[in-house]
Amino acid sequence: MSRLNHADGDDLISAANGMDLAYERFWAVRGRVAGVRVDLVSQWDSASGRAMLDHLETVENALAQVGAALTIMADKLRAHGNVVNTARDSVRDLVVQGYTDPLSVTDSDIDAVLQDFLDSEQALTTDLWTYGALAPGAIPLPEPPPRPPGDWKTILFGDGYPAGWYWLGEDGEYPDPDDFDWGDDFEPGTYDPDNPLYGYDEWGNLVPAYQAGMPVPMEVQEASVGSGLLKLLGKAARGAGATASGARAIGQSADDLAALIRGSYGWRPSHIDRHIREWYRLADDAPVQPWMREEFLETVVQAGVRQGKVFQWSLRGESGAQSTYSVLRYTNGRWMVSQYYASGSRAGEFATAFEPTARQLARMLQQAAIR
Amino acid sequence: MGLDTGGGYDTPYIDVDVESMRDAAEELAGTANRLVGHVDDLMEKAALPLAALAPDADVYRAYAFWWGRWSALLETAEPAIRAAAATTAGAADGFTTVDENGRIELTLPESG
Repeated sequence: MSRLNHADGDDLISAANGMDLAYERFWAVRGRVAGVRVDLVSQWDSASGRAMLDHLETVENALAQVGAALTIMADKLRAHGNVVNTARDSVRDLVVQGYTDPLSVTDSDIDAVLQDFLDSEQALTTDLWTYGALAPGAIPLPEPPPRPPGDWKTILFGDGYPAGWYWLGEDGEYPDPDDFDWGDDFEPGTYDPDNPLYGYDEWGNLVPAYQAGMPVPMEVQEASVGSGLLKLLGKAARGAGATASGARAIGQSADDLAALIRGSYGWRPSHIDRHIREWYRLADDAPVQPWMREEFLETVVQAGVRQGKVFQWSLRGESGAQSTYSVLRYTNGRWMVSQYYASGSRAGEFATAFEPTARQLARMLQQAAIR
Repeated sequence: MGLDTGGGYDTPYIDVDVESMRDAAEELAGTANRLVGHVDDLMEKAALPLAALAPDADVYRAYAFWWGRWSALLETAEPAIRAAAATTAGAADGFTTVDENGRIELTLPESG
């Protein structure tokens, strides 16, 4: 029910309409590029001209592929959006009916509506994974939590798996490291369709590893360090060694995270006040009020505590690009992204928080979805 | 097609129309500019499902995966078109320095 409450069918339909419009526009752009290409055949007949024709044809193909992906997914998002709206209306009607005539409504009536919603959501999820995998570029494996500690022989001699190994074979068991075909070009962080690895999705189904929300069965995960921002920060800080960092001792509460952020270099007024001014639409020289700083901090904290999805995203700073753990928060119609250093001397500390543009949002997803 | 009388793509000749190439470059540059606006509009719309789907659900991760991968390909298009425009304009300028009439026919030396 909470998932249905969160879902917004109208937004999904609006996104679908935007994708359909984009498809038409990209088709027109593709036509213009094709027109130029055809003209150039006679206008620029040389080796360099022919190289240009090939280049333009590649661009046309890319636009055609993106257009096809958009129009296919627009239909599916719209269909799910309609299911969401219908389910919400049906549940509301059943609740109203239950008030007026309690005996006429049973739990199974509501369950049936919710099941339709969940069936639609699962179908959409499958389509998104399937069509997403068709896009160019290698598929990354999510960063798994560390394996649970083994016995003394494992500690002393290792267990034969690459560092951080956590994935399963097609049978749901850990593959035998002696028998598994790692391939000549094995890369630990990349999904190899020829040697697929598996994990579990949120419904407990064994799925290709890049689709896995829970890489290992829950009972094993609970015995080890799980995912989630707070645990990742603690892990990053411990990995950074002796450098002082509040993240090393971070617990699981919002208070811990708030204390960590306040003590981080990224929270210094000369840096964060600029983002707070942007968030509250203040002039560049306007003073930041204490309540603004507290409210902004609370939004950052809530994003870190509640968000289930952590992206890795490079942050460009004075010392070059640095990997960060980033979380998104959508609140009152606006996005906020908050970032924490994943490595380096400040590993585990708060880095920054700001309102991203739609392009920045997409680029954050790109880093998580393409290797 | 000028001197290309049956030689196909292996012809040792080049045949260029400099003015038309400049027009083509302008058309490509204009197309790239239009595409920027179209992509911005789409980016706004494509972000909506991230707010409309529960962030701890698989469907959220699946949408992030789908849009992350396809938006990356989309973002290659505009710079590629702009680069094509610049290259075409640059090539037209280069040819013009050879023949100010705007149309040249050169016989290139045989390779090898």
